[in-house]
Formats: sequence, structure tokens, C-alpha cells
Amino acid sequence: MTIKMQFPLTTLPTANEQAGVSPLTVTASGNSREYPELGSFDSGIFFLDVTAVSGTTPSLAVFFQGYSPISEKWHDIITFTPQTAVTSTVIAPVTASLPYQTYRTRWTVTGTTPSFTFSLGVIVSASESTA
Amino acid sequence: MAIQLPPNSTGSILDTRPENGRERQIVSVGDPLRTQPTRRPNSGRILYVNDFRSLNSSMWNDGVGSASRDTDIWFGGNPTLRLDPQGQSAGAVTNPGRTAATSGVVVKQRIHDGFRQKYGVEAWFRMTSTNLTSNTFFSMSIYNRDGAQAYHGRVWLDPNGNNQPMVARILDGTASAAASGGPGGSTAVYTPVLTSVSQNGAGTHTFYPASGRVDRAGGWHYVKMVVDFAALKYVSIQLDGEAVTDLSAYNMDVTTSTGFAGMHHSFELCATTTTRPRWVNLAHMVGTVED
Repeated sequence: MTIKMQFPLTTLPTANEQAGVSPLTVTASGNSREYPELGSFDSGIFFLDVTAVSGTTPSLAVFFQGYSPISEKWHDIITFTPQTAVTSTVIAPVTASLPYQTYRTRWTVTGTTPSFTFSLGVIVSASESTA
Repeated sequence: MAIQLPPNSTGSILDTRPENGRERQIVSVGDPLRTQPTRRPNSGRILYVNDFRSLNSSMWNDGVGSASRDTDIWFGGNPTLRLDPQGQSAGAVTNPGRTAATSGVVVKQRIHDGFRQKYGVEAWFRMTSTNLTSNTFFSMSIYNRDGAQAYHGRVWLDPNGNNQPMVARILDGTASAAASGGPGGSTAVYTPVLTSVSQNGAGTHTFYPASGRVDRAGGWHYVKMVVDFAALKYVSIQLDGEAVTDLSAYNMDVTTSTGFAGMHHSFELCATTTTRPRWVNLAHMVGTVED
């Protein structure tokens, strides 16, 4: 059978997921906590949505990254088109394979006093024997 | 002559006995066989098993960091669960506390119960990475709440240095209440109740690929703790191959809490510094009722 699971991908490293952690409001560049939970899955479909924007010429770039446990460096897997306004039409979901073991979300924010409220989520899937 | 075949995985037994000069088949169904591996084959009736063979389990981390299925480190033919605070610090704590530090990993299974029975949790664990023998606190807990107070049984699994005898220290309810001035304070007192044999830190058998350490075998410890929620007392503890230690003289710890009124079987991992990595792996966690 195919196992599918859903994850919000904007949990901050200091956040507790017992409290609501998505959507996330950011005013500066940063990254999420790490997600080794995705490491057992084969692929995912990713959904980006922007629900609030303020500032002068604000821009939000969102990246989904995989981790090299040997070099301890992060590699971009998905680069979303930079967002400058509230999502008016659905941003096309992005599918990606998940060959790494650990992942995270990174975002960069530019502009004058920029603020973005956004969510990035994923539905991951893998086949598993039920025997 | 009678023939009995061994039970299958569901406890079914195929038996025969002579009846009127012929062997007749008799099928009886008993309790399921005790799951393996365990060091206490006759202790408790199983409520659940988390062996991490599947992509997900019924456990969840409500602290920072992560608790995730680990297919690098295996035990008994199954993947394990890696606890990783991801470099977050719980501050200047000196023990696992009266309540779990959610600024570390708190990974748990929840079951509802009305303070009526004795419960046990057993598991295997491995000190996987470097950086675990100081400034790090790993513990196992069984606790419940009634809407006003929390009742904790917790054992701090203290490696006590590297290649030193591991010490099991329990959260001492009477001593913690005295030191805290009752259920509202935060001073936890841990009392050593059992010491295992040497070779209990990870030693050189660590797993941290970035540094070239890839010892996937490590060394696995066993722990089982039983508490009595009817009497609000500890019952017993076992660590590795040591004899089961009677804890009936110790009370569970009582703290003021309006949190979720349900029983928790949990493991906690926190640190006082942001040093990485700090990985502890769990395997074959079993929850039991012991009445």
C-alpha cells in the first residue's frame, strides 16, 4: 500500500509543534527546523502559499533543501519563484523526489521593512509492505 | 501419545491427543507470545509495541528537535527511532527535571487511564553519537494527569561519564516535594537506585558520519520501569542484565499541572549546550499493564 503523510515545513528550530506553527510570519531570512521524518519517503508534492505581505518592494524566496551528513552542508532541491504579493491564484504545486535523509526549508526576505506570512507544506509518499 | 506444535505468532497452538484409538487435533488459542527482544519475558501484558519497522509509529515528539525513524541504525532487524535535539539548549538544567523540558525532545505514546492499574514500559536504547556523556540528560517516564496535578514516574538514565557504570536515578517524589515546598516548586531530586556494569557510555563506538565515525552496532542498553497509578508509587526497575530492583519504597512525584489528562509513556533528551550531534536511538519500545 502507499503511505502518505503531511507535514508543515515552516516549524522554527525553537518551536513546539503541539502549538500551531503554520502559517509563519517572517521579517528576515531564516530556516525551519530539520525534518529527518521525511527521510523514509520517496517523493513529495509541495504547496507554497502567501497570505499576508507588507513593506516596500518586499520579496520572499523559498527553498527546500536536502542535507549532506558527510559535508554537513545544505543543498537546494526546490527553488520557488520569488513572491512579492499575497497569493491571488494558486501557486502550482511542485513535485520532487526525496533521496536525502534530512530536509529543511530556507527563506530569504528582501525589501524595506518586509513582512510575509506564508506556509509551505508537503504530502510525502512511499510504498510499504503490509505483510 | 500427544503431539503439540509450537504456538504461532498469534499464540495459536495445534495439539493432538488420542481419542478412541485415533489422534484428534485440538486447537487452543492463548495469549500472544511475548514479543522479542526482551530481558523480562514474563513481565506484563502487552498494550502496544513500537518497533519502528513501519514508516510511522504512534509516538510523537512535542519538544523541539526531532524523533524520527532511523534506517542507518538498526536493532533486531528493524529500524530504530533517533532522538535529536538539533542543537537546541534547555538552559542550565542539572537533571531531567520534575516535568519534561520541551526545549529538548519529548517523544511519547499516550493512553488514557483512570489511575487504576500498574503500567510498565520497556525499551532498548543506544548512546549513538558523541557528546552524550556530559551536559546531556536522557530519561524515560510514565506519567498521568487528573486535570489539576501530574503524577510522574521517571528514570534518568545517566551514563555517568564514558565507560563508567550507568546509573539509574529515579525522580523521587517525597524528596522532590520536600525540596520544592510541595507540588508547585521546580526542584527535582533524583535518587540513584540501580547501577549497571561498566562500558555504558558510547565509548568509541559512536555514529557520526561527518567525523568518519560509522559504528552501526554500538552497544544497546535495556530498561524496564513499572509504576503503580492506583497507589501512586514506583514498583520496580531493571537496567541491562541487572536484577530487577524493588522501588516500592518510593512515591511518584506530584506536581501542579492542568495539562492533558492522560497517561504518557515517554522518553526525553535535552542538553545544556548547543553542541551537536547528540543522538540517542530507541528500539522495540513495549508498553505493558502489570496487574
